[in-house]
Amino acid sequence: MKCGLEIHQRLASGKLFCRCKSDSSEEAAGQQVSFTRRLHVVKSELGEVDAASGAEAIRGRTFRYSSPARLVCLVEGDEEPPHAIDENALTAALAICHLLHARPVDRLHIMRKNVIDGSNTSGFQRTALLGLGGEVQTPSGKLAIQTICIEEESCAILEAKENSASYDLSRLGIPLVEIATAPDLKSGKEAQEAALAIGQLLRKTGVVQRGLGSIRQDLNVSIPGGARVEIKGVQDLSMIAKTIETEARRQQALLEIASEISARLEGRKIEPAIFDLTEIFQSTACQVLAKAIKNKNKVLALPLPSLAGLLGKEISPNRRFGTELSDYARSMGVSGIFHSDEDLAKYGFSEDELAELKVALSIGQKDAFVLAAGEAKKAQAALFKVADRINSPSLPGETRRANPDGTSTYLRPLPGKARMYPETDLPPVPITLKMLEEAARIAKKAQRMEEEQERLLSLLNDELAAQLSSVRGLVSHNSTFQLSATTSELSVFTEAIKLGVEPKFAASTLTNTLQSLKREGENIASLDEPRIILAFRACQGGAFSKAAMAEVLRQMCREPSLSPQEAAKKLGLEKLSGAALEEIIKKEGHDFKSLMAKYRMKIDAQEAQEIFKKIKK
Amino acid sequence: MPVPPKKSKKGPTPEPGDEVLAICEGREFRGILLPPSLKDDSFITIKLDSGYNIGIQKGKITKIEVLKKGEARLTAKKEQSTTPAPSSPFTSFISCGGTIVNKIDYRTGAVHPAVSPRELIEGLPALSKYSIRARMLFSIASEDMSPWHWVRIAEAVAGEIKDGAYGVVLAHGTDTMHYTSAALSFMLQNLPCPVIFTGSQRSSDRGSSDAEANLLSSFLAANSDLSGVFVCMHENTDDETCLLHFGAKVRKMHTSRRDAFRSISSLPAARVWPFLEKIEKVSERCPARSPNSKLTVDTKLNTKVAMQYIYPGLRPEAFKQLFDYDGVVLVGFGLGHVPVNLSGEKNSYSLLLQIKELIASGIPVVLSSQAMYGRINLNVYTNQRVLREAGVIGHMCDMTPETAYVKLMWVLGREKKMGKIKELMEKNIAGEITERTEFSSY
Repeated sequence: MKCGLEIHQRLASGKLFCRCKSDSSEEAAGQQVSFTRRLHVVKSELGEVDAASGAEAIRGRTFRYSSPARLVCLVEGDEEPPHAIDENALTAALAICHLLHARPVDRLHIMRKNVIDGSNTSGFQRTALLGLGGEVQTPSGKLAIQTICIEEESCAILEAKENSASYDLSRLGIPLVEIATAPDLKSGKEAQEAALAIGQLLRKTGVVQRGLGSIRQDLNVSIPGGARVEIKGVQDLSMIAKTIETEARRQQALLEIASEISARLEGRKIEPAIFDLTEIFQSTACQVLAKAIKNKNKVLALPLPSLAGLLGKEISPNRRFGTELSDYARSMGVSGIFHSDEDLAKYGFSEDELAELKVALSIGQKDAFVLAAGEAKKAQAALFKVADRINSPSLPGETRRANPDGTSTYLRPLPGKARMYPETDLPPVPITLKMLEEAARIAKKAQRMEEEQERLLSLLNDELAAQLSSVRGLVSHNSTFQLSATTSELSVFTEAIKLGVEPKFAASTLTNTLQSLKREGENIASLDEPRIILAFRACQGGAFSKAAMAEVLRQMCREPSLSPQEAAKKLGLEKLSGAALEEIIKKEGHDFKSLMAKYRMKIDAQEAQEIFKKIKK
Repeated sequence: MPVPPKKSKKGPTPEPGDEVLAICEGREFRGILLPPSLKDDSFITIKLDSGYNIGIQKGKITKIEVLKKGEARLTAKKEQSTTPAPSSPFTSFISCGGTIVNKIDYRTGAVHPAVSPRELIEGLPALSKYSIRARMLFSIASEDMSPWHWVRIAEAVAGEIKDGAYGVVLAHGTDTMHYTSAALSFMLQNLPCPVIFTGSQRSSDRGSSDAEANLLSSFLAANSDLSGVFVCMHENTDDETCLLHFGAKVRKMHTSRRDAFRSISSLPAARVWPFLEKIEKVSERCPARSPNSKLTVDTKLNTKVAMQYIYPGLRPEAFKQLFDYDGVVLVGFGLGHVPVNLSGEKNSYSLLLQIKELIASGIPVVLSSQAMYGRINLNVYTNQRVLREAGVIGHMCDMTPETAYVKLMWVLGREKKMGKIKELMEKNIAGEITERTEFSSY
């Protein structure tokens, strides 16, 4: 088996080709923008239609885009030419090239990659090749990097229907770095470890976005005799190994089915002879067919002589060859297919209908059939696609979407070269010495920061250290990273330690406390790094006790304009200490336990205990 | 074609289009050599097998060799195509150039206005129901259009209608489309059928081009029950509806949006749903198709007309050159203001004298407004009355500056007498002046 990775990592700068923010955390409210578009297929200069684009065009769908108005401009709306490439994003990507030992190109040429599934309003994605070669250290040795590209993020799909789809426009244009490894990974485990290693290296740069969706892995998998299959959008790192192994098994199973088909057909092909069976199902109890007929659509069938039993063959967990064919049919705009290896009675097919169908298609025991319902043109295209797939002597190279269970679903054919052409609205960008120096500086800082982090983490127990290193920057993932930041560039943790905060308390605040606030629905995005540091400082300075930290931070989430001191005051959690504490202990402190129960959030246990002891004496 | 300097000593000289192998700092780059992106480019550009282009500094290249000579296909063919008239009633499609017929050269990235009209139509299956006679008249960007081109276009349209076209669709660059549509509105009168100008703000080579909706709408409009000259472009940023604007009452109001065209001081003529194949009248003024109407073609223009934008601080000397023209359109302020400085403010300039002199020397001066929307009214302020008394033309007119400019050329093409010129300029001829302005027209 051969496997390569394509890692897509969002950069924490403004959008790549306009001056909108990449950060959508706080902007959901307010005026909305929405519009409806269509995309059509375009021919290349050679008169070729790219296979991937062509497959989409047949569906003729409409696309609805929407976004909070503050997050998009005319550029995302395909109503204005792109602005110059974002310099911070470019430098960040160059820093990543540096860390991966890739050689940057001398001049960047921005390209358009045709994508007409609606995920880009323009009908293409802007992308540029930035770095070539390179390597990354993984647990199983050095892994070669082939290319590093900088490109724009697509819209997020909100809902997909047969004839339409809706997208969140705000995500469009966020800068991404795409890192493609050589196809040298030999197992799912190796691939998963490599993905983790690259992901960790990217985070160290401090110039990447964090949080859900900020990193995605695409997998390229092929087995001997199989085909190159690109599996897109594996979001959960821990699913990589399983997804790859499932894909290898799928290709193996399909190879077996292919040889069985060729044995049974003895070199013949399936004739794409389509039968109109709408008449037979006029009063069917099958809901899908009844609905199609009611909408004046057709029920079409394709007989598959000698292929009985093959469509029911399992190729992946819970996925049969029939499921696979159904995916292809769906890509032509029908809702799916019925086939003879399914229990059709379950869908409401009557025995009479099935008998009539068999007569109409003149098929017997050894034969199979496939049924599709929908607009005549689409249903026909769907069945042609099924016939094509069965007749294909080799496995088709294709793009598939990762499913959460490790299986994958057919998306479209692999894109070809016809898909890429230059972005004529932007001149090429020479990579200057100044950019390279800035990139080297960021890379160096990342290395330094790592060393410092490791030293500090060594002060903690293993569990907390592991947690901290995994959520480090939890709070900063939404804030737009400024490469030009002049103040301390170390993390909040380092900063807190510098203030004299006890490492364990700092770590648990940044992990457990923030995570539970987030879980409880607080908007922790409003707690940016400077505000958390202020809270540590206030706590350290005696404004409130460590026990009150969680509540103070909660209040600061709710009222972003409050300082930590104001938040503590508002909650009545100002710290009692020194003379005031002594007063209270003298008055109420007969029992230390009940005293703590009453004033837990307002006093420091250690200090109280000392005073308590002093008074008792 | 310029050639990278450090070429291999043996073998042919690498030329754009060739498959080459370049060695640069020990690394090999294999791909197609592209023409230089800029003049005196110090980089070479190679299209790699992956489809990506990269730029390599010439100075770093140690060796470059040709692996395979290219097939000299780096410039798109210019195809002058005319298809024979179908025997059944046909829609004429005339291409005058512009973004809508621009085509990207996928290998070089250059944009050429070289798509043949036939190719454009074949790319749109929805047009297959029409029988179309397509011809390419020009292949130029609209900023390069001149009044000479307007005349050729008007003659071509008249020719198509004489040949029996049921309707005419014109592909045109958007920047000056409203000048050409205004010109045809005056040149072609008593039209029996619709003449539709269309274009696109996104070139046809991209999946999101507005060309499809605009063309589909234009063909629907060309086959509708209307007559007259119209511009047909997107109504808003959606791809669902287009508007038909009266040819002399429309203007490009945005540099880049697909709904850049707006009817000015008028409702649009009609709304078109290209994908529902529906068309509905919006304005009462929309003339009906009249097959028996006898087309009048009157293309004579006097192109010696100047347009002068008025702005604060404009010095009277700037008017000197206007005396070389046969007519002047002033693009004034608001209701029709030009600095006249009646109060004698010492830091102001007055243009009144120059305007009076222009008129006295037989040069008609037509006033339009930078406000774009609304009517000129020279009665409201004393400052304006002096202009009216001086003989400035345009009182109570609601023409755009561009329409006024085109109209003045057309009027001067047939009239020499100041009185007659004024009468024609202030009278509605081709839908350019309305008597009442509806609320919803702004």
